[in-house]
Amino acid sequence: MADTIAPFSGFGLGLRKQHYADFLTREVPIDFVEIISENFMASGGQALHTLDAVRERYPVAMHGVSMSIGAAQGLNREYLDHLKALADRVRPLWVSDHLCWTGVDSFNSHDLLPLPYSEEALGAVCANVTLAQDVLERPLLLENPSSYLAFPDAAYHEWEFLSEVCARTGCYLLLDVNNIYVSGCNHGFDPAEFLRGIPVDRVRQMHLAGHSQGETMLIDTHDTPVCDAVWQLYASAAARFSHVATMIERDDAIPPLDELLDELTTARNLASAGLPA
Amino acid sequence: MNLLNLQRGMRDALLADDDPTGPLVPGMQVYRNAYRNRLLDALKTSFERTLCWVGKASFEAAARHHIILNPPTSWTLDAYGADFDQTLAELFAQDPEVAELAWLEWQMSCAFAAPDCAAMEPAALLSGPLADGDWDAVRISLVTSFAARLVHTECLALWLALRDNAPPQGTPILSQPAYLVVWRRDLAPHFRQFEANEFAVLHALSDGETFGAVCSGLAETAEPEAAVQQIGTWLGQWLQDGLIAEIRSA
Repeated sequence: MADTIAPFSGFGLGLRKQHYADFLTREVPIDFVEIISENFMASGGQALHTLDAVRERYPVAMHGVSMSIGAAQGLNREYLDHLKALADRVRPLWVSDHLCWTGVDSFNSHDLLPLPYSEEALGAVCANVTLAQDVLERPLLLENPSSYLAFPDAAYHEWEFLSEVCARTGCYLLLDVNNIYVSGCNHGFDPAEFLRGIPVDRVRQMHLAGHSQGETMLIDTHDTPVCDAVWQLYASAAARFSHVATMIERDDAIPPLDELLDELTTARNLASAGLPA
Repeated sequence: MNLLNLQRGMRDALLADDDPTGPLVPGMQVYRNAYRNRLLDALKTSFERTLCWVGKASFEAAARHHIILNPPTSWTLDAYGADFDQTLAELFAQDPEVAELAWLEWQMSCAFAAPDCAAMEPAALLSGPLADGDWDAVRISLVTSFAARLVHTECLALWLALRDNAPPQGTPILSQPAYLVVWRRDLAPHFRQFEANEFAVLHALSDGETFGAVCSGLAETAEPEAAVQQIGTWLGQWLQDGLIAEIRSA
């Protein structure tokens, strides 16, 4: 299997139903689209036909939510086989999922549940990443999730945990800048320290999204524009992790495509401002 | 606590009826709310017309009942709702159209994502076994998206009325129970109501019986020539509908 992912500098958007017609009929000024893998892991039908048509026009990154890479009981092979079939069909830039677990025994929460950053969890995650990479025959990108729970007996900070997974498995990272900000506010760490702790050569993509204020915490809702504080953090991240892909991630209250393209222009401008002259 | 026990404990906290207690509060409450709301949203999306028919409050009460009794097990959220019509059949026992409408909505979704399967073109009959007059040994296969159930109400008319934003005052009970059939032709889901005798023949043929055997069976209650003619008419309609994947000699 290919054990590296070449750097890809570009700016992209998520492929959402509301924008299918735009992506198929307009020349949308983006460098790639990102799909939610599970939305296209069907056996047939309209969704796959649409994806094939989009794939003819834009490079595609695959982003999943159901791998459950932190599951203590290991990965679901049926899921991995479906994902492999989709990856073989799409030939994506890369395949990503989240540093989390989603279910146990026969239960699936369909949520990105938090992991304790312990030695045992590190071992479980590394074993699962290795299996996934073997089945998929490509390196994986892991994304830092937003979290609302911290475990008092953690052995690692999140950025240390991610770095160690990369070192042990050869996987790469998808840094969600909004998630760093949300988790930083919720758990009281400095987002700048998070960025400094991430190995530069392992990052291949960044996500930008909006969040909302909950009763006691920030909630990663993906239903609002990127806020100023996250833009500022992105400027720092783009300066540190130059020449990686960036994407605006909107999953709810999805606006017309041009509004997201305006946000993407902001990202381009901030990223180019941080590059050496 | 080891990782597996921690994950089982968090699962139990997600599923518990009572508010969580302990050191993981209040963060656990965020996950509990997200879990329930995500499943509720999934059901609302999959059963849009059923929601419209029973009303938001009744639908949400039924959905919450379903969510408590049926924690999701599939890796895909798209699978959640597969048995929601059964929950509705219990909760709306006096209104049978509710569960039947929900079944129709669910099967439309399933057909939309079913494996690709080309329907046989009617012109292909000219070169198949029927062209040689060898009817007796012929068997048929249906397209893979085919689904069917017995219905007692005008749920199909109800689906159409709700699509057109013209919900009726009530849903009549059918004078005779019928079969509702859902399938996908090319990329679009289709449905049609079958009377019991037509469905019985379709079912027998798709279940592996030969034309000869089915014709013999029908000839016990009708003139043999009329039986063959009737089956031929139905077969032509099924081909036009795009229900038949293959006609082959046994």
